This record gives sequence, structure tokens and C-alpha cells, in this order.
Amino acid sequence: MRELLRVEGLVTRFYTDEGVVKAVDGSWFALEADEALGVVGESGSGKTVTALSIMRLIENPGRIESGRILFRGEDLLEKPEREMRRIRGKEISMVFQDSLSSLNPTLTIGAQIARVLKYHTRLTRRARWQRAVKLLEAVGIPEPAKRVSHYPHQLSGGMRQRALIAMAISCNPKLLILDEPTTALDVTIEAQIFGLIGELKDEFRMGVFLITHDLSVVASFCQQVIIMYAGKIVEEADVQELYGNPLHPYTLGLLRSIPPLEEEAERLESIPGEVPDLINLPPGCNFSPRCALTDERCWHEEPELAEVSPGHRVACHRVAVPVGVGEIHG
Amino acid sequence: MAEELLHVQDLVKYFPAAGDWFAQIFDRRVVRAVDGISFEIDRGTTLGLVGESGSGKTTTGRIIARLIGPSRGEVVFDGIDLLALRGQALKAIRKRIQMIFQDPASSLNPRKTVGQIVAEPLRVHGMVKGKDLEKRLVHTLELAGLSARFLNRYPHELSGGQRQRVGIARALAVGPEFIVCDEPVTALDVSIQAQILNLLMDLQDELSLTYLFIAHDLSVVKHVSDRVAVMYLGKIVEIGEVDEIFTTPKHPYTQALLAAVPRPDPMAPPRKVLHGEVPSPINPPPGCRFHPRCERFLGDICREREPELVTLDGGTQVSCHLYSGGDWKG
Repeated sequence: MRELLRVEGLVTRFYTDEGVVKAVDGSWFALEADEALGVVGESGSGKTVTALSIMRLIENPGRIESGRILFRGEDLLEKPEREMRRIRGKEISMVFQDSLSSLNPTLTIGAQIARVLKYHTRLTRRARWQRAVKLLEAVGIPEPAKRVSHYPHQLSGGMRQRALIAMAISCNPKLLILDEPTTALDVTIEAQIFGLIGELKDEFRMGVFLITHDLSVVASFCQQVIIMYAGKIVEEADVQELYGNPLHPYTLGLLRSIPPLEEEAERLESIPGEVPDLINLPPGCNFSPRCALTDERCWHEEPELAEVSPGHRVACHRVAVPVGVGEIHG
Repeated sequence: MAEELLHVQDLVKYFPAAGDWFAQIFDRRVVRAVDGISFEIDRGTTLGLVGESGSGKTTTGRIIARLIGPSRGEVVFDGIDLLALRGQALKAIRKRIQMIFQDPASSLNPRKTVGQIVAEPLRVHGMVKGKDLEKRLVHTLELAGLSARFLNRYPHELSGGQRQRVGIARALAVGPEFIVCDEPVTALDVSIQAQILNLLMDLQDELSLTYLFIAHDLSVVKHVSDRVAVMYLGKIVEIGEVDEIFTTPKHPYTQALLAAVPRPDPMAPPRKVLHGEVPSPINPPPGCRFHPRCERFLGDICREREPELVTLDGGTQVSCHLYSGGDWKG
């Protein structure tokens, strides 16, 4: 195993007319090559902003305030924009949720893949087109030689998402960022797409950063999990540990609100209330207004992410940290 | 003894494949959205309707809510032939059958307050006026878990979960007996999903409501339903008691669908991939519509003869040649 990405103390904020949105508020994590990291959270938890920060695609009024994003040992935040343009699409690529709006409706699928190849490789025109057909075949699109000259609207949602993945892997990236890649798709198509990404990950030793709200998808695909809430990481562990021994009250709440397929459940345990406004965060722990376990400290003091057992980190005052295991930062 | 509230018989809905009337002159093809389905729902129970995009589940719901008319078939509600109703009689039945939509953001008028939105069905039906109106509105909002302070708010000021509660309140306002719920939690965050599912189930108990619950998420459908119907390309392939369907699914499509669902457990067996995509409902495969993707394909019979629904021990009805018995088997 080799470290591919390390994010240290990332803070990204948006300066809106209504106030400062603390979208990502001090994130620390790492991702190994050929590992799939699942980033789970609800709307507004900061998972997409984390990904866009890694890609350096934060636009006004947003700003990356501080932190380091080490990709293969080099800080992406120090790179000039020209260098970033070489990295995006080649070293790190991203697949967005909505395939229809991330494809150009006026260009054929083949032309769009060829564009990426033209920018990043020295392939000839003919070779680029041939590679586009090969890529469509690799992602399981039937009749790739015909589909390559189709426009996005001629493809089904599942096929468009595959075409986007084909484009994203066209230059064999080291890191693939997937932002809810299957949310709009049916479960059988979702299973097909994750099967495909899993094969590509193993074949090319590609790190995968998977953003999702679906804990079941993470359990079936990822090795490592981060749970985010209101801009902060609240828990991190490998999948076996996280699902076997979830500690943060928010993680527990999320797991309990999934209707079980196998056993009976009379009533779902839901998390009361709603995700807080990122401009007016509560004092103390961000989750305290919705938490059943709060005490005085939770309302005043922000909990730090602390290691409770090797590799398992939790940010909660109510979870006992064993003596001798210190906070990993701060 | 259970009392039948809704009876659907041989329901068919074809849409013209071409867009406007002019194109339709040259293109007589039709989309067979719903192609001969029958089912009943008993009073006070929930029938879950599952299937992938294009299976016809939403069209079925819309016909029952009388939002669109069918091409053929019969819908009997409480002994009344729903499709024969016109004018005042139709208006009267609309009080008894209501609908909750998937996307609360687009199904609420952005220029009206919550109070106006929930009052609209009361006004249309001339049910409550003057002082009583406000009382009724507050009561309805409370049923849906919203307090009176929401009356003067606009939809954009609300969160997704609150908007869906407004959609539920609007459906409840006229005191219906039957509600078509079309993917009511699909657009919501996980923790909010559980809140809304609990609310819908509590309301069913309190007001003895009957639901047709349309969703593609199998775990959600399992949680809320008494009986489940599985649709594929306009046909019901399997219908039965929820426990029967989920513990011993009979139809190869139901089996494939369940095997493709991820579990929130990293130790669960890997998801099984169903190959291919749902074919076009313009030109569905002959014989059994599932045969090109079926793992238990029997040969010519599946290609040539359309399977009938047969009733098995345990009450499940399934349309598959594996169970049709007789001369074709073996």
C-alpha cells in the first residue's frame, strides 16, 4: 500500500451575501493507491466541496482558506493553474452526479472523449477515435463503434453515466473522484457500474474517492469510510470497523434509519430535526441539537477528531477515548 | 375480513412514441407503458409497486389518481367504476383519492404560501370557509408534523423534508381514504427519509388510509408494504405478500433485483449483477419480456409464448414459465 492522497486541515468557505458558509471546516484524511474511500453525508455536509477542493475547482465566492492537499507527495494548493489543468483529467478525474448536464449536448460521445485525449496525450486523430471506441467497450456499452458517434440525448441514463466514466478513465488517472455516480440510476444499473469501477480500480491500481449518501453502497464497495456532518468529519474507520462498531451518534442514527431488507422493523429510528444552517452553526458540537446523548460540554466545546482504536477516529465528547491514545492533531 | 377498496383489471396505457400530432401521422409507433395489469388493494393496507425506470409504475399511479386516462381496462374504487366518472361525480371522488409526488420542490407552487397551498384543495371542493378554514389548516399541518408557524412561509424557505410534509398535508386536507404515493422519499436525505416513512405509517394507522406506494428502493417498499407488486416493462411479473416476495422471491427478475441491492453490511455477499438494460417499451421483446436478460431462460417457450400469472402456494402470483407447469416444463 502506498499513500496517494493526504488532506491536512482543509478549510473551504463561501463568502455569500447572507454570511460565511463553513462548507469544509478542518478535514484530515488520507487515501491509499488502489483503495476506495467512501465519503458519506447528507446535503450540506461538505462532501462535494471536499472533492471540488481537491480538484481546485472552487469558484468565487468560495475560497480554500487553509490546509494542504498532498497528491503523491506534492501540495496541489501550491501548484500554478497551468499545472492543475494538466493534472485534472489525467492524474485526477471526476465523475459528477448528473450525466446529462456534465456532457456537452452538441458533441458526440466520441468527440468528447477524443477532446480529453487530445489535451492530455500525443495520440493522432485516428488513434484517439479508436481509443474512444475501446473505452466505451471497456465500460460495457453495447455496439461501441456505433455508440461513439451518438449524442448524449440518444443514450439512456445508465449508458451516459458509463460514457462519463469512460471519459474519466481515458488517461488512466491515479485518482478517480465519483460524486453520487449512481443516485439517479436503477439498482441493477448501479450494481453494473460499481462492478465495472471495481474492476478498473484493481486493474489500474486506481484510488477511488466515492461521495455518496448511501451507506449500503459504501459497505459493498469501499475499504475505508468517512462520515461527514455539517462540514466536519465526525467518524472515520475501515468498513468492517465502522459497520461493526459505529460510535458517533450521527453514524448510529444513519445506520438505524435504513429500512432493513432481511429482518423486521416495526418503526425506523429517525434522527430528529434537520441539518443545521452552515452560516449559523450551533456552538459546541454541530450535531448537538439533534443528538440524544448531549451533556453540558457538547453545547459549548467543539469535539476534536480523536483516535479511539487504531485507525478508528471519532469526534464526540460522549465516546470514551482510551487513556494513552492522544488526539492525532491539534 | 379484509374489504377490497381498489380493483384494477387489465389496465393498458399506450402513449404515442412521436411527440406532436404532426409527427404522429408519420410515426404510428406506441410506447406500451402499462400493458395489461390487474391487482387489488384492501382497505387500510399498502400495496408497494416496484420496478425500474420505464416499468410503468408511475403511469399506473397516475391513472388511478385520474390524472391521465388509460387506453383500456377497468379501475373500480369502492364499487364505483372510476373511469366512467365525469363532472361532479369525478370531482367528488377526487376528495377520496389523493396523490403525493416525488419532488416536493416542483410539485408546490413557489408563489403561494404553505397555507394557500394546503387550502387549495379545500377551496376547490368548497369544503371549509372563513374561520374554520384556519383551524382546519393548522390541524392538517399538525397531522403532517408541521406547526402553525409554517402557514405564511413559502416553499423555498423550507427544507426538503418540510416541503414533503407540506405535500403530505395538501393530500390530507380533504380527508382522503386512498393515497397514491409516488416515490415520496426518493428525493430526501437518509435521516429525513426515515422521518417521512414513519409519518406516512402513523397516518395510515390514525386515519385508516390505504396506500399505493410506488418506489424503486426495495428496502423502503419492504418496510411500508403489506403486499408488493413487481413490474417489468409494463407487466406485473410477481405479486404477493411482502414477506413471501422478500424471503422467497419466485420470478427470476425479482430474484435478480433483490440480489443487486447493496446491504449496509460489509460482510454481506457481493451484489449480483443483472446484465443488460431494460429494453425499449416501444418494441418489447416477444414472449416473456424478461427473457433476453433471464438467467433461467428455458428456450423457445420463453421467446415465443407470453407467460400467464399463476398462483402458487403461499398466495404469490407469478408470470414465468418456470412455474406454469404442465407440458412445457422439464
